[in-house]
Amino acid sequence: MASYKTNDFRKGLRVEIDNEPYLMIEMNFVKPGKGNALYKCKLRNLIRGTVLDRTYKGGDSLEAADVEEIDCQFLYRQTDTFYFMNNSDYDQYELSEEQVGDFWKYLKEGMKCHAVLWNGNPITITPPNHVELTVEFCEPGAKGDTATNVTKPVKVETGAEIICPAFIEMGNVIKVDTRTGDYVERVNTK
Amino acid sequence: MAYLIITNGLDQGQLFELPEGKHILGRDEKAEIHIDLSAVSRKHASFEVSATRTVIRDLASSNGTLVNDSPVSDSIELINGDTIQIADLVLQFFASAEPKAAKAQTQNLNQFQSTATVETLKARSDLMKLLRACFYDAGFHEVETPMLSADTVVDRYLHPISVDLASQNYWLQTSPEFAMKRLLSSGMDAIFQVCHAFRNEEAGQFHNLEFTMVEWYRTGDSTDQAMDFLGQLAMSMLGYDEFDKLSYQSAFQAILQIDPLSITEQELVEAIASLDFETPVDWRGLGKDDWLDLLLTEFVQPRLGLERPCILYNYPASQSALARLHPEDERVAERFELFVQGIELANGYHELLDADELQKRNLKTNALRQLDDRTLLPSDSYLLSAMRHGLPDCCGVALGFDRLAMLALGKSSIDQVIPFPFDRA
Repeated sequence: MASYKTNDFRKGLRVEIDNEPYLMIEMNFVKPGKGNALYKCKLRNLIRGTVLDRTYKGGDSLEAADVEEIDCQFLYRQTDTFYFMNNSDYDQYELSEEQVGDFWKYLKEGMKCHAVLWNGNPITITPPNHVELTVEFCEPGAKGDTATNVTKPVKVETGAEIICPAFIEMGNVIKVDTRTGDYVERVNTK
Repeated sequence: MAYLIITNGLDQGQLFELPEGKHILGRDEKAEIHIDLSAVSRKHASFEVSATRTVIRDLASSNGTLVNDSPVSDSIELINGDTIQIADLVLQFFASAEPKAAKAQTQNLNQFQSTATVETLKARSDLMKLLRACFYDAGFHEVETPMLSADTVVDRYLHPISVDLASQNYWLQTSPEFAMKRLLSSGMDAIFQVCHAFRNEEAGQFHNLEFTMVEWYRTGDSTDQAMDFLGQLAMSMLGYDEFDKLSYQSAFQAILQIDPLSITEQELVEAIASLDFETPVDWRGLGKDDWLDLLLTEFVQPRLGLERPCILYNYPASQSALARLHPEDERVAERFELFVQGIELANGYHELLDADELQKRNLKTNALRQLDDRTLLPSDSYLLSAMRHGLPDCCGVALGFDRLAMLALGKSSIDQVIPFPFDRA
């Protein structure tokens, strides 16, 4: 397998440490006048998101990680398993709810997502920042209640509960920010 | 897919995707293109993207929107490559491209620019003038020696760049040391040089592969005299009234309660284990000097020169490089370094004059380089002949001008004082 020598170390490098993939998020080159160079690195675990501090000396090396970023599509969910398809080679991947993360509740069939593959297997999936979802259930708003500072919870087609302004009705399509779970705006569907 | 890419300022290179639909650019947190600048209105402009065209509309913003330098009165269709200016921010529009290609395109557009501001480059020039005046006033002569030479400094951790010319190996100089000493052997007595030095594999906040070095030699100087000249120079260049001198041994004793000269390697490793710091992952092959270097870099150096410039002197004999050993204490070499604000600025020696000793050190260094799997460097050189002919008793100092400029101008990294760092050289 390919490896990187300290001379190749830079931000953005994807490496393997203790059989896990890491992204080099910071690299500081330190060298005393006449001594050996030190490479002080911060590495983010691409599976767990934890950050590791490691110092290497000139001449050390790290294994390169086979990490690839792809566009994919959410196909469907079967109980706790989520199925995705690679848009370029139509490979299918199965992910557990835990692997997908909190945003599973915004996933709609056919939705385009971004995935990171390690040795050909997906390790993280990122949805688009904004998704459009249909309101499936909500309490009716009081007539004439058009102010945006009055809010209520609504349930959307994927099962997520979103806090919306009171004027949102059943059947409306709303835009939701998947990073925060916040309501963004009502989408005109005509 | 269409894209917008920021092409100036701190967020340079940030890319926004414009899928089909309507997108708002503004300071509002809910804006799809969220720009957190006070001069940007909450809802500043919108982009209406269809399969074939993209229209930008100014949403009655307070400071307006410019497309290719003309204000947008209501809306205008964007074409590939248009620049959009919103307050101080410049964005470029790409009608349809792969994001990576679009990004590479904008990066290339901006790579011609200096990373140092015009103001900084002018201030740097003033500093250089002041520096030269300090040397001329002290009676030095400026010299110029080859940057490309058949000789090179033999050091375990310096990696010179070799250039093949006329079936011979030449080296870009890691410092002009050898040639300047040849000038002393040829009869010059007080010389200085401002030149570029090349050290492969060195890149970082305080390192650039090619950097500006100021190096000087004066015959007859004692180590004390050489340190005084260096201290005075640092004072005039950086505006201090005094400087400190501190021995390597006392610095380690004061900061780490370790005597670097008498401690054994075993004791040193134990002492390090009790300290809170990240040691290299692979400890194999580290010797006592490597451990001392680690401690110097991590604990001692950050505390040197905080109030005023500090010269650390009497380095361990094992780290003598090209310095002579101290005649009264063979455990140390007459080597010194200048630190300001925890940053290493200069390295000086009371120079080694003994050709045989130099050759011995070169052979030892080459053996260590072989151990490290590094190219062997020529152990024979014009310098050895010069030393056999007779090198006068002298002191020499090399100072990194970029770092000096960085400190003098209050910058935090050397690419702020170098116009074209190696990645855009």
